[in-house]
Amino acid sequence: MSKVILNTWDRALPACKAPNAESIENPCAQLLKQAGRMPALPGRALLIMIAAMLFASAASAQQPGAQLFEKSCYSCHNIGSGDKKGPDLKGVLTRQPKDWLREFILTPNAVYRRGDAYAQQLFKKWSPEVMPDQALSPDQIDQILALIDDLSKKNEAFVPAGAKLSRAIVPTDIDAGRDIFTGRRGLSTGGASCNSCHSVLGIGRLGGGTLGPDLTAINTKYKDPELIAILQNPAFPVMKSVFAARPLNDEEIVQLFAYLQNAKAAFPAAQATPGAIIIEPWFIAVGFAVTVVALVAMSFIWRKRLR
Amino acid sequence: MLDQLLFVIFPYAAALLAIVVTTQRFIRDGFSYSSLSSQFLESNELFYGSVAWHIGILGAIAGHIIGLLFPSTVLWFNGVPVRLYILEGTGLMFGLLALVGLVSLIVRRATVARIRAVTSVMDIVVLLLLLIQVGLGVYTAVFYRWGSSWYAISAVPYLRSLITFQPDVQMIAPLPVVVKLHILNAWAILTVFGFSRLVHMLVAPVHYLWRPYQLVVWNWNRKRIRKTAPHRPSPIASEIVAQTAEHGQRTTEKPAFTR
Repeated sequence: MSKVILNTWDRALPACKAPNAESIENPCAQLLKQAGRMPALPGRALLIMIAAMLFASAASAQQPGAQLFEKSCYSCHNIGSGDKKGPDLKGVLTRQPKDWLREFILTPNAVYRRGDAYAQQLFKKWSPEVMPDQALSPDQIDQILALIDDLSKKNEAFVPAGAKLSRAIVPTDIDAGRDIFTGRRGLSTGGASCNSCHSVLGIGRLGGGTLGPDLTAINTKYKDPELIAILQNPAFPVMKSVFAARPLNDEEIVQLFAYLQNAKAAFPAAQATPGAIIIEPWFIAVGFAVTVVALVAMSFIWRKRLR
Repeated sequence: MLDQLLFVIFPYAAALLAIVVTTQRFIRDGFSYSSLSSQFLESNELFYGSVAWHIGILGAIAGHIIGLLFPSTVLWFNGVPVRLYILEGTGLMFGLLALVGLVSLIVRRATVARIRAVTSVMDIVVLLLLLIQVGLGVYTAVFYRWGSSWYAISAVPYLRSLITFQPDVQMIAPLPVVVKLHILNAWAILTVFGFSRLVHMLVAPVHYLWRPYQLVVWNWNRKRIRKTAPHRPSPIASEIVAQTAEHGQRTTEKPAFTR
């Protein structure tokens, strides 16, 4: 957590480092003043993050394909910033021919099933993640490939231009985000709450869902803009189909971001374990216990039945 | 393409087959609409098999139908973790009851010679399909929690798209293979529906639930007799004394013997 905050600080707090940082006009100073009055983490850490969010100066790469990449690819791929769920795409055009890439981006599973050696290698390396087919036009794919090529040649990393919060985070956002996560406050578009498929330690005795990964340590897995971009456009296979028609609104993104960024604070030992199937012994125990009770009740209710 | 075949063409073909065959069978052979009793008032094995199975499967199917009809209400209900846990625990209970009942029925059908003699190939197919279905359902409930919530935003839009003849597999295509097998197996069950004993659910005597119940009085204990005099022939139906009691009260009148 602290590492992430410090990185964020170094990367994106020009306002706090500015000569007028102590001035009352400087919003960063106001926030840090508040932070000084906060009892301890996580409030203080959060307010530092607020500043980070406020002043994050993303060097937006406004290539034609940038918006497309951010929406369709960025959940799983970086260009030049390292591997995520899928490989870093820096220099991908030097690894595979353009035609192959065009086909693979559209229908990765078909290429894999056909027995293509490189696709087999990719699927094996990144298992259990499976890249979903992409509904992109040939033009759009070419724009994305041009962006990758351009950034790779310039040796620059992709920075998402749109991955910013609509407002600063305030401490109450953590609880508000938690309420959205558990579904206590329904999503504005009527989607299922996060805990239908995801868990975060501390949200309830039996936790959240396990269709998707546990998100307690999400802030160690994704950088801030990456997490914001995912909340804006979750391009993972299951989430993509569900949230395409039901995107989160700006306020929900801010509050969920605040909650998820803070989720690990109370559970420092939590690890990001993608794809792990977690058994909840208490759920199974309760299920079995209730079943036995039901069988005993049946036996009692129909005790006079000839059998 | 494969998804289209398995999750669009297959269910429509299965539904069409089920409608045509059940209708034709009802017209041509209405009396075969039965689950062919294999001794209704028999042993503990049948009791814990049949009753547990039927309570379990009816509860589980009801859960699926409620989710299909009122997805947003289910999501609202699940908004409080305790309520979610109660709903999921209840669902798991129904699944386990169905599983206990089904396994019990399978064991009985396999081990009791009298039942094996009246077992058709279709009975075995149905039992196997149901076992797979309930097994996959319980597996999903345990390993891919919390199904009652994510069902509302994945399988429900898919099922609704089928019902409104605007099939869309997009929502279920990326689901885990176990869940997709659960859906696929449901269409397999629908395929054999018309050919099997499953048609009995269409003529289930639902009015039994609110009619005055009947007291069936046995004037001798067949179980004890079976144990002590195994070669004695079974009693014929007319020897069974049935007495109907209005409003659930046992009357003081003498039973009307049919002989």
